[in-house]
Amino acid sequence: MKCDKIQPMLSAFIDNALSARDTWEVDRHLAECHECQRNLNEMKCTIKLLHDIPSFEVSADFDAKLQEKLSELQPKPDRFMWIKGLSRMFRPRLLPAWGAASILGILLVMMVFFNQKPIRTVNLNTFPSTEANFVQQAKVQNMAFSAVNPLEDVSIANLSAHPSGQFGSNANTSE
Amino acid sequence: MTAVSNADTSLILRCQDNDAAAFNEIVARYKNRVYNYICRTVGPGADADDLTQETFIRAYMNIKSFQSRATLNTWLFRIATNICIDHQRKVKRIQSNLVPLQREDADNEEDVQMDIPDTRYNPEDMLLTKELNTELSKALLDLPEKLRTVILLHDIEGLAYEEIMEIVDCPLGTVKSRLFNARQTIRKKISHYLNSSV
Repeated sequence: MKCDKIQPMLSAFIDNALSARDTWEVDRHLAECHECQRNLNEMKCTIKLLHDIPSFEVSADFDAKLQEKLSELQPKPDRFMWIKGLSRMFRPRLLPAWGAASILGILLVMMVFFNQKPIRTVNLNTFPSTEANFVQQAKVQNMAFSAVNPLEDVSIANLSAHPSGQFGSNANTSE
Repeated sequence: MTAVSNADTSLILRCQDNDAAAFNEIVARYKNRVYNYICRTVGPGADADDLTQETFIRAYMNIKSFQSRATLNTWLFRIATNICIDHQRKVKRIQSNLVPLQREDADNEEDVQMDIPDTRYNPEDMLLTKELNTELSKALLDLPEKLRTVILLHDIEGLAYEEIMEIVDCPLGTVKSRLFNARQTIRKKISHYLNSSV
């Protein structure tokens, strides 16, 4: 690698923040390049000087002044308390429980919907072609064959009005 | 989690329960670090004092919304950084409306540097160290704000890359490149001292 690619890496090299490959590249380059070696030493020296630079300290009356200001204030209430509550409900420790509850819920819904008996509908406009079929259909519709006057049954009355007249006459004969 | 951050978390929980003594403990722990950071950012003086107070007041006001995913360290430095940025914008706005001013606290800064005790006994070394520290302080103040924040947090306050990423809200690569640029700029500015010492 050339110096212009190595030099930007020197800072991270000093902090041990380079990948193993980049560290190896920099090491190899430094063994050959005196200019980069000098830059590295100067940068290390700069960092040490910055580290050793004397610190500033607060004035003696800092605490008193701060206390005076704080005594007039109250911490603001947390506006996002409800978000925190929600996130607490969904914290990682509770996620398996939430998963199990969701699966149970889905199963319950499926049981309710799929266990219902299908509603069987009979289309009265399409008449059965034979008497046997008619009897079968009448059974499905729970029609009372034992009724005194089956013609009182609306569907039977409709049968008597059939153009073929076949069912009407049968109904009359059964009477 | 380290022992320090555990202790910090406990202090925060106590503060959130309206324990004033816990907040005083936080102030006692961090006031000098925050003050030092602000002095290095805006220059020492009355402004730095006020901005440090402002940092702790803002922390106190918002302590109930503190999220435990950040550390107290990171949170306080983030507040201080934002306050310094706001302050510098204000100063720039005022300066752009007036005739260009020299930094008023330049003399004060030298005074503060003079007051710091040095254990070295050689007067020549002492003088050189003092001069070098003054040069370093000036070089830090002259850096662009983005570079200065990163170098102060890493090389002076000793924060890790990850913590700086949280404070400046930038990816790792940006933090690394800003740190390199900042170090390089300072190295060039104090190179004549380095040549004599390296």
